[in-house]
Amino acid sequence: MSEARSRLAAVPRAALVCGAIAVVNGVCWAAVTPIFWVPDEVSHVGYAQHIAETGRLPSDPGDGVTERPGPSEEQNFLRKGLPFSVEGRPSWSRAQDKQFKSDLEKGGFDRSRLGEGIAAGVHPPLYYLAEAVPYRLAQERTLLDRVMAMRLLSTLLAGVTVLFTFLFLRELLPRSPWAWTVGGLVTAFQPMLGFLAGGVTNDNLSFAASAALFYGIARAFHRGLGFAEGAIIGGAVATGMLTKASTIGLLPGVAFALAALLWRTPTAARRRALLAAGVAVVAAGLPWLAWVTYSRLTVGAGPAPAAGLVSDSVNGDLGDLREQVTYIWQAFLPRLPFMADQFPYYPPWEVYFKGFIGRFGWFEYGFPDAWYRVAAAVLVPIVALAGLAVARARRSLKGRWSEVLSYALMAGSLAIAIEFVAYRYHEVVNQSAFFEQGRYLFPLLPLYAALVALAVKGAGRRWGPAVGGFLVVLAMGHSLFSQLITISRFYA
Amino acid sequence: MRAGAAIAATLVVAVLVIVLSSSGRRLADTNARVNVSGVQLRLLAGERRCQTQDVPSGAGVVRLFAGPFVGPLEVTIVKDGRPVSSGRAASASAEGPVEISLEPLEAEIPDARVCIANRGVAPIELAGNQTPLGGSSISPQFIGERLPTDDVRADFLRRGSESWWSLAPVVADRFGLRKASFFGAWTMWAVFLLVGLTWIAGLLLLRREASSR
Repeated sequence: MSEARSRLAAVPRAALVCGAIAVVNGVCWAAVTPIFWVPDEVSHVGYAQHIAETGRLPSDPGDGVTERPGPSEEQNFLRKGLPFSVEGRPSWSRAQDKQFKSDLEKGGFDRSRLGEGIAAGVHPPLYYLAEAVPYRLAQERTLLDRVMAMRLLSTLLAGVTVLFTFLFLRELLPRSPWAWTVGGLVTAFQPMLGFLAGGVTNDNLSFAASAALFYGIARAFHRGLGFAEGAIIGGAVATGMLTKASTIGLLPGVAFALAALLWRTPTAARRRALLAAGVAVVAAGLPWLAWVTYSRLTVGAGPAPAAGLVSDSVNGDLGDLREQVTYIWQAFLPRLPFMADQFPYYPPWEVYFKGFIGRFGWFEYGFPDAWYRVAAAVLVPIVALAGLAVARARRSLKGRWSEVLSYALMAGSLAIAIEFVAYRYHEVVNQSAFFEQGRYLFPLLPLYAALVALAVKGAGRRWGPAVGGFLVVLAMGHSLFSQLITISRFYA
Repeated sequence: MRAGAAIAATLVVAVLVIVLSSSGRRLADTNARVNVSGVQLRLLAGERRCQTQDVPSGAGVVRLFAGPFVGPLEVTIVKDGRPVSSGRAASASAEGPVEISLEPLEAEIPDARVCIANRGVAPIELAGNQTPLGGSSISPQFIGERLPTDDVRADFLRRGSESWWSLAPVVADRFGLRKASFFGAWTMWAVFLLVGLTWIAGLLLLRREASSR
């Protein structure tokens, strides 16, 4: 207990403040965004509600999950009363609101049916098990109150994400404390992180797990691969894999990092490092294997595809390999002359850049187009300054190539994994729709923080503080305008 | 640090003031559940169509989305069988919004009957309120359900032109609806207070870290 306390005391106060700011920012978003207007929140709430009400996972036998998906009685009442539609807004009628809340308080609704939760059933259960706790704590309250309680847990996870991001920066740039703070604050005010933190979605735990993973790997490269580092890496992978299967996209980079860490460990310490790597593998693999086994055993009673990367509906004809490659290519890079056009727009801009700057609701509203161009204009000097910092540190980077390559592999393989699924969704499920959303790359938030921190370093001792102050206040403004856009979208 | 923060703060505050001071006609309420409707509801010459809809207080104009027409197009708001407000538009030369001034409504009328009548000699096409352009399949609201019939999309606008500053109390009132039981008009102001506190905490942290460099 005292050891845990002393470890907590070793966490820099600035990291705790950054984390706390992310939590409060998430609370603001939880209040601003109407219930169910966070992507797939209807389904995520349904999944957690089912666990909290029945004590069973959706893949358990006897739940009748093979039935046609439809809302549970309580969710149905809420959705019709809001009324919910992706492009709509909640009712502004004060008189109707009173009646609606009074009817909701009377209760008597069936809560046990999985309803829309079936759509989230492709995901492993860890986040939903955690969300069942605030749900149960507010069980006697209306569903509006219960969802608010669940949203608060998500805001805490945003705090954890920012905390680990800060710690990652501390390991990455050990001699630049100012850059940690700037990177931590800019991440804490990132509006899409805040928006998602204000909703019930497993993305939140997935982001926290990946931030912890980046921290664990950076720490291992900086301090050597010990048991603590192995446990952090393994625990983060296990948490991520039990939360969202897209975590698998990070694993090639993690595997490379572990191999590189072992390879560069001096022979005398290699045995200890090997054991630490074993700790990482066991900590990551055992919970995942247990879940896969459980999930497989329950198949037959209903769809239990949670062990897979995507739902059964997405597992179909894989299509032409050349088409897949060109699809993935065009998701991130300009189309080459010999490639068939795969997108009606340019995904790096429309999906990933705009999705990072802010596409809120069900990826449905955001800033006026000119604002994204301004954001791109701000990004250019940030990248240039970061490049300058890298160029200045090229000598020391020679000794850190395996670390840099690990992060690049994590980013690259996650992006490819997302597009691998996106291609199947587009080809097999719905050819008129595209699967990609900016938030799918948010497990890479620590790298965004690193970019900002490097930019501050690149500005040098003289201009670094001014650039840091400028970027943090700009991030605050970015967050505020995002909230104002959301307020005007739903209430004005 | 201070110079950079001050420049950014000036930019942010300037844009904030410009945006929030911009004036325009503001929405009082709408039955729209999509941005752009994919359904055209036809109103034949001489036909009248009524729908149940909440009519907000302060509404001075009703906005419909129609194809070109030669009217008049008449809107009447009825409560308990009695007309409480009405207005008419003569014609529209292109597809788009048609704004019809109403006799002012002081109080909200829940579940009013909003009746739209084509007093012209040719049919009029009106946009619906809940089927998106791409059809019902893109709205999860209707997954597994039969698509409900659209009503005519009717946006009620507040009288006159207002800045966001002057609309803020109304927005705060709406902010507290359809949310957790302890929410109210105060919640929006509390959110802004919290946002302010995070700014202060962030700036103090920056100052502390900058001075300890």
